[in-house]
Amino acid sequence: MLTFVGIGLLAGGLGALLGVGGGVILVPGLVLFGGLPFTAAVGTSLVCIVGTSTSAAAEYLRQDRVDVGWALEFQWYTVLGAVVASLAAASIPARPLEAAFAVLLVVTAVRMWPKQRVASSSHATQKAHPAIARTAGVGAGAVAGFLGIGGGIINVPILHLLLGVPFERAVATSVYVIGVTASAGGAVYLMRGHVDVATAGGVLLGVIAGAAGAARVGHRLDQRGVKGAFALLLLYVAVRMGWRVFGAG
Amino acid sequence: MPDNPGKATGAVRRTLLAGQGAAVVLVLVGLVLGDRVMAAGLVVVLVTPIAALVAVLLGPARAPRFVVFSALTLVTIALALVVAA
Repeated sequence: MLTFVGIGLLAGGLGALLGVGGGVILVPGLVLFGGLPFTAAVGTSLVCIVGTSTSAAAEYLRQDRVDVGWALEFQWYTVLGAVVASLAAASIPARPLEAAFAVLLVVTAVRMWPKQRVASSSHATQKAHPAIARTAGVGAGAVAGFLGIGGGIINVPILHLLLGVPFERAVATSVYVIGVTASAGGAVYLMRGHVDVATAGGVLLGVIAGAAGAARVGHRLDQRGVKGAFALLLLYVAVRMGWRVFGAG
Repeated sequence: MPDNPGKATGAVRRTLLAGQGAAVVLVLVGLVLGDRVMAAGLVVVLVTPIAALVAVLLGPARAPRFVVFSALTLVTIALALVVAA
């Protein structure tokens, strides 16, 4: 149980700090260290991601950092993608999904790697592209439903680059949207018996504690350092997942 | 942009906090009493963001944009659950 609480603390904390749901930690953590089948790990992860979002989003709402207008609209597109993917996931073999997850981890690590921030990145100066954003939102939801992630790694660039939401508000808005997306997907997995209840309970407690703590102290931490450590962790997990899929024969 | 963000924000936040609190209590009790209670906690977790949408629909911020997209999201989730069952 302590292992699962620890996985939850790590996922919840990093998820809230970086605007992602923590699924990129939870799913491989539950598969590699918890021994869960991939489908059960995805379902369990989605339920716990709701905990991350709920905990952090309440704090971000208090800080008035969530763009409620965009959140309420954008979440419909991500929910649409998530429920379709969650319904379809049971008919897809785990191996290609695990391989896709390993690739996703590498992509996420590369995106998270700290870079020199461009001058306009914290301001809403970009031209909005709502039509592309809506389509991308459905895609983000589908990735969430198939792979058990919140989709924040896709949501934040959509909100920031395509809709012109300032970066910090995009992170907070993404955290809120992730909750509804994961809730929709997680409910489908739960109804189909693809959630490990005892494991989810332990992880959930860690996730909620980690997310609440990170949302309070996150702005005091060095974001570049957090991103760098997160990227390295993801690369390590990607190698482990890749080895599990391709190396084990 | 948000039509009436303050009121919607308050309704969503209160619902999230209430749901989160109830879920944590149920999961903690479930550690002692077993999986059924813990499962109830998980259901509360899943329902909480959906309840926040209902709070937007029923709450004081009834701007058309809020209502339309909250309703569409709720209908989508309901249809998915019907298919999943």
